[in-house]
Amino acid sequence: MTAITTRPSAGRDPALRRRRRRTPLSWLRRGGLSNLVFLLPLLVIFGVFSWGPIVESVVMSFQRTNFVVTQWVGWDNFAALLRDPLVPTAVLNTGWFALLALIFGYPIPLVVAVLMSEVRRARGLFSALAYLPVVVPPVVSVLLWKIFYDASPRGVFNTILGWVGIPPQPWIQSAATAMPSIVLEATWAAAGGTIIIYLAALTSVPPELYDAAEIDGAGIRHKIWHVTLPQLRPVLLVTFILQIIGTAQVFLEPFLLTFGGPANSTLSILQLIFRYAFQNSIGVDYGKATALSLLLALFLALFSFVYFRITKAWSDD
Amino acid sequence: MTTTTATPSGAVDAGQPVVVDPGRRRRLRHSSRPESDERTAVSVAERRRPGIRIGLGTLHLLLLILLILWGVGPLLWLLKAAVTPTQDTLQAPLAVFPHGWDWNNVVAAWTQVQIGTQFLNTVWVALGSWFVQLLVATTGGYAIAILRPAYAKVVNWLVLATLFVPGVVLLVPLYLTILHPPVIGHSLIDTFWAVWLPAGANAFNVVLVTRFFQSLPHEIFEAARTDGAGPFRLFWSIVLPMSKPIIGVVSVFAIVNAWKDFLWPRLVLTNPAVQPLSVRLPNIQSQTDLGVFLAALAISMVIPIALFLGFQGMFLRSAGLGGAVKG
Amino acid sequence: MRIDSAALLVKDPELREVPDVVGPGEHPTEDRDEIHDIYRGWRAVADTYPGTRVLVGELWVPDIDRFVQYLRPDELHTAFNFDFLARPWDAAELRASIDATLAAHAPVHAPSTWVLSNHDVTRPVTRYGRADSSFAFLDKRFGTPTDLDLGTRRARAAALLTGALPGSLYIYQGDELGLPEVEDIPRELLQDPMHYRSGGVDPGRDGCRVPLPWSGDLPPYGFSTGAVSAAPWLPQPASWARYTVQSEAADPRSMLALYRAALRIRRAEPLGDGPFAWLDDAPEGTLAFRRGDAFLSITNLAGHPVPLPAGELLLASDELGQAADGSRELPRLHGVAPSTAASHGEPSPEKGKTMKSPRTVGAAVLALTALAGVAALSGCSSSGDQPANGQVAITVASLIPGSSDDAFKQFNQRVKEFEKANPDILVKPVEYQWTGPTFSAQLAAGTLPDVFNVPFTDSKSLANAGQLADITSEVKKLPYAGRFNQSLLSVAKNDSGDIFGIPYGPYAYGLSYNRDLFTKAGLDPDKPPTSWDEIRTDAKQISDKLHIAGFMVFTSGNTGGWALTEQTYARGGRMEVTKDGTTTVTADNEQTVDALKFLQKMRWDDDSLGSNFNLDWSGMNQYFGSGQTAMYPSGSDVLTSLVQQNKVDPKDYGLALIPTEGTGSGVLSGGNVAVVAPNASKAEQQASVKWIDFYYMQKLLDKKSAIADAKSLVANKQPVGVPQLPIFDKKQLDTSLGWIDSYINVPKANVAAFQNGIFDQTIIPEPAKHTQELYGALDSVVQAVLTDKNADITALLKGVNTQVQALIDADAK
Repeated sequence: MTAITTRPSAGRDPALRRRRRRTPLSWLRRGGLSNLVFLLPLLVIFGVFSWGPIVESVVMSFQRTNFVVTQWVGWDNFAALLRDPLVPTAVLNTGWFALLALIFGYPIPLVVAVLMSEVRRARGLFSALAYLPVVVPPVVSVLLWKIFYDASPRGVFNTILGWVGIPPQPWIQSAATAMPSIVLEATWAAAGGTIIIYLAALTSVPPELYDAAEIDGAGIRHKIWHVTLPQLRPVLLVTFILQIIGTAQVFLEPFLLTFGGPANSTLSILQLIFRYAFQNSIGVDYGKATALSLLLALFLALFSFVYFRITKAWSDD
Repeated sequence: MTTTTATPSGAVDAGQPVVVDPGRRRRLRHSSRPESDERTAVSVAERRRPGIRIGLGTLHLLLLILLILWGVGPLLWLLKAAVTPTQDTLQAPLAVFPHGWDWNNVVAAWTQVQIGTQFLNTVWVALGSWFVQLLVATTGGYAIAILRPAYAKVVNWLVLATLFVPGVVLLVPLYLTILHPPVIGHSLIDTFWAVWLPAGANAFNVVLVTRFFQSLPHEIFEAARTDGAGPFRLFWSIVLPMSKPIIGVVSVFAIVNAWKDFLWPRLVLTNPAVQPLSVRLPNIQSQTDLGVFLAALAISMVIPIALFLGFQGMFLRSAGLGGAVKG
Repeated sequence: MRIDSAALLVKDPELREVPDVVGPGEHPTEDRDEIHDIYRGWRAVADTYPGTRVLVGELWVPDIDRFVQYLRPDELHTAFNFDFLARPWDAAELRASIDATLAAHAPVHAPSTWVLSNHDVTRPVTRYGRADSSFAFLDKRFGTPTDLDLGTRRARAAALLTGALPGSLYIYQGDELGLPEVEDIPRELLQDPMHYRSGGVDPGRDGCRVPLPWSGDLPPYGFSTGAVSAAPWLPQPASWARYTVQSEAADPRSMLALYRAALRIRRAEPLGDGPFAWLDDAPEGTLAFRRGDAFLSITNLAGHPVPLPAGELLLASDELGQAADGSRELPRLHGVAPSTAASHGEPSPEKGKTMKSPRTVGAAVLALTALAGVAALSGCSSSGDQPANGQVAITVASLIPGSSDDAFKQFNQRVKEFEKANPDILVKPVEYQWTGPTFSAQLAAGTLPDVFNVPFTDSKSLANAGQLADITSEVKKLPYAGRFNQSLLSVAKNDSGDIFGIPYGPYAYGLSYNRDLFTKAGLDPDKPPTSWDEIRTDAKQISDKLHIAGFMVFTSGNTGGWALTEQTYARGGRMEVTKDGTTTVTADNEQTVDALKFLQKMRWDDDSLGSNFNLDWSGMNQYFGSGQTAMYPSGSDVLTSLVQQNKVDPKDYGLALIPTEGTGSGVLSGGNVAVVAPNASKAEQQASVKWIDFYYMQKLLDKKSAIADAKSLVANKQPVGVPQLPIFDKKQLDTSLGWIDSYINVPKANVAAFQNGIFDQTIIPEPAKHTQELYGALDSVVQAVLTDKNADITALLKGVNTQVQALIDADAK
């Protein structure tokens, strides 16, 4: 027992402290070198591929470059963003996507998870089925759904609709239906993860709360409303903000499904950044791209901050 | 001696009481625990009532059917289409083998489109990213949580800060960094390093591992140190073996994310010889016959699904843990 | 009353961290000075009861002086002596402990206590049978070698020793039976959290907590009786039948019998209170002391027998031996201390001896990684073949990725022919497709192929920006340098007139159509439509009959604007107008509006444009190649791609003229320029121009080359006779086509309509300023018209004006 073997006995004077002189030698002896060695991979990788680029991105948003000449242009890039009609389009589109994704992708997994938590046998089967789409690589899902969304009457979905007498839909070929189509695919691919998170939270609700509620005569609906959901509040709040942050940066689905069309109706902010940086013919506009990405980052940071303030107020009730 | 304090009182870590509920402990030991001793909104008594039982049962049946259609339906269609001649898929996509099946598409996908190369590339990308992520997370977490030099707090805070920075900000400057990496003379474009190295800058992993290391009992380390273990020995022989659970979780995340990654590999891997599946598939869509393309898609999803079915427990636990940690 | 964790009742209210050096009373959770007030209060309460209510404290306080503070007359009566318990089987150690204990207790007049083990400590029978017989929590490991026989003998001796010491004697349940520590409890049944928290390294304390065996031969040995059928919480070993109370009670040589006898003597003497004095001349390695005049206790801890002093033997823990002279002697305790590899401080034996030092493994991993890294990094600059001495190696753009194997084979054939004719040049083909971002990245990274191609729209700006190699002198050396169509060549020049590339493959817009689908729809494939109205009617007929798109246009990836510009030119309109050096964007001109209205009618009234409106260049080619559209405006050279990538059969392909109507109408043209990377060395530039000359030019100028090229195309199933426009002049083009006439496998009749008619058309170049951005902006307009029935064409076009004009005006600043 270390209490016996390592503690100084009563005989030693506790006031006698050895002063530690901080010298390189004493640093070495204290294991300073091995500390550094262990931190080295993290420092190098984060330094070069995370912290450095973050700083650089702020710098670049005030510059303009074509790999031959780099010049400072001050606020020009930001001003150009404000003038570009595609920017408000992208912002609105992204907001629309986020909203639709919230409507479809937030409450439905909750309902499913609550139902699933009541399954007594073979819940694993339900979980696996729900999670399966999440495991499929997103590129495969999107390309598959692109084929499903063929707008001709012989397209897969249109054929199914035809069975129940609904006329063929344009899906991703029309500005009105393109974004909802994208959201549908995105929900298919992601809902499973949310379901599992909710399920994990649901099954860790302390059972005494249910017992207490029952003693007070609560029926099932009451219990869910007054016990389950409040207990889930932390998870719900967190998944909400995570969903917002994730959908604000949506890229893959609109990029592969519609390439931003038709007529820029599904152009997301990230796609616009990508276009600025990587799709102009010769004059790649890294300055505008980083400026827009900074603006998005600032917005999300602000949003998160306000969100946490508000939800903290709620949780403190 | 009661069961409420796990250590003999007065011992070094008397400040760490562990409430141990014998019933719960027993459950944790067995791998498959009966769900019947869990407790959710609907009580056992309520279940016995026929109204509830039938209602719940019907709902569950409906849910099961919906989940099958929703989760498995599209994938089954893809598998079917992969072995259906293209014309049939074009003319009657929902018919099941109107003219029998045909392996040609799969063979063509493997040989002509050379999905095999990209498949292998995906594996390489995943393995390299996994290794770099583990290396950074374990060594970094070890230094921050256990070695704790004076500057560890600063490093930890810096790492946490990147969690709040959306990935979009990094896109362009990271690309330029890969084009002109420090120290190394030439660009890393079209090499796997361009994907492996940035993958290591994953703050989420570091947070997970650091938290885990912090929860390990420190008496073990002190004892080992007293016995003369240096930091390397401590890391290799004691910390790592105790960390198998978290290594598993981080590995699942790392490999799944690497397999899914699209935007970044697309930017930095432009040569088809090194492209992973996620990049190559969209590029060849226009040049490839639909049936062959569908077969290629099907091949691409086989491994992740097989891994999932084999390691379901780990996947689902990681998924649930992800939510808990973020919370 | 036993007080658990007796030193931990009071905590530092600020919950400070444990300091590195802990002074007395400074520990935040243990042994703080305020505790004594609490115990004084408790003692007062205990004293109010009749009789003596004993307060026994479980005190782990290493500092003996602070330890006894708890035992002052107004506090606890007594406390466990853990110092004694933890000592190894060594005379000096135990003597020191006894001395310290007695000395410390004396001032407070509290009885000392003696105990050998408890529920947290390894049972003495096991502990004393180990090489290290002390006790430390963190040293517990599985598989520590134990000599139970030795341990039992020592434990028996310890029983008598403690029984003879002054003070209170505590016996931990089971020690009186001499139970050994149970060390083979199945892991999954272990319950001690200490075991789990150590990751399975520490065996935990369950070994001394196994339920007592009372009677019988089989577990649970009477621990549970009667109707109780459950097994105890820890399994009892099968070997414990001999340790049951029942069997020991019947055996006079058992530990139980020994303890009972010792206790009888202890009470009888009595030994609890009374004087204590060490024997002065006791042999080395023994503990010998008097309790008063009439009682002597000797314990032999030495490794050899010792003579027994005279006196009546009351009780011995073992059989006495006999010395050579016949006197009795206390035997040494038999047994050799087990040798062990798992000495204090080594990792548990389970770890195995094959484990390498982590440092060497780590170093090996690092070395491997470094090697791999070097290999990978060097790999990006090395190629398969290395140029021999004097050879120049160049990389050249070959074909678009995704081209068929046959097409690549043909290209490689040409490479071999070139290398044969130029043994000092090594050519390495690379797949290449011009896109702006790839170019920028490759330029920045310095990984451009030495020879690659750029479209007409970009070559001038690249040349002006210095992003291409200046090859003026090399081009001027070519014999035909002066024969280029000057307007074509000017595209490859910068503003100063220096030449940066060689134009090739000029094309004009034509109407590609599917002859087979025409026939199926009841139209004559040799009579393609010649006016926009005819296009409309034909398209409707095809879509009504075949349920596909009768006609379709590019819509995305900047090709929508490109095709719309062509449709504008065909009606006499212009997208940009330059006057006096200023360029104005005129996207909302009447002809563009007409073109869009035309599409609108076909889409919404005729429904002849199919249902897929998101088509870029390769997507549209695939759409056409898979028979989902019968007609589309395209570059006149698209057949090559259609064959190489979409498996189109030239027999089913037809190319007609786009109808031109109205004044100023013409045909949109374009082309490619073969250029050289700006970082190519002089030698590489020379070699590059030679290659360009060979691959792109010679087939137009030299009969042998033309035939060789045509031969290899035919051999690799590539199309020969794809419609072309002249780089030099029409005469040269006709001559070159004549040379390869017999190899032409594209049915001439299929493309006659275009090939014959194009030279009567006005060729109009693409808009000059911010072409790609203009096209991109127009993409959305086309998509809107095709997907939104109520698209406001004029407003959309005006929006394009504003957008692109802003870019042009920004240049002027």
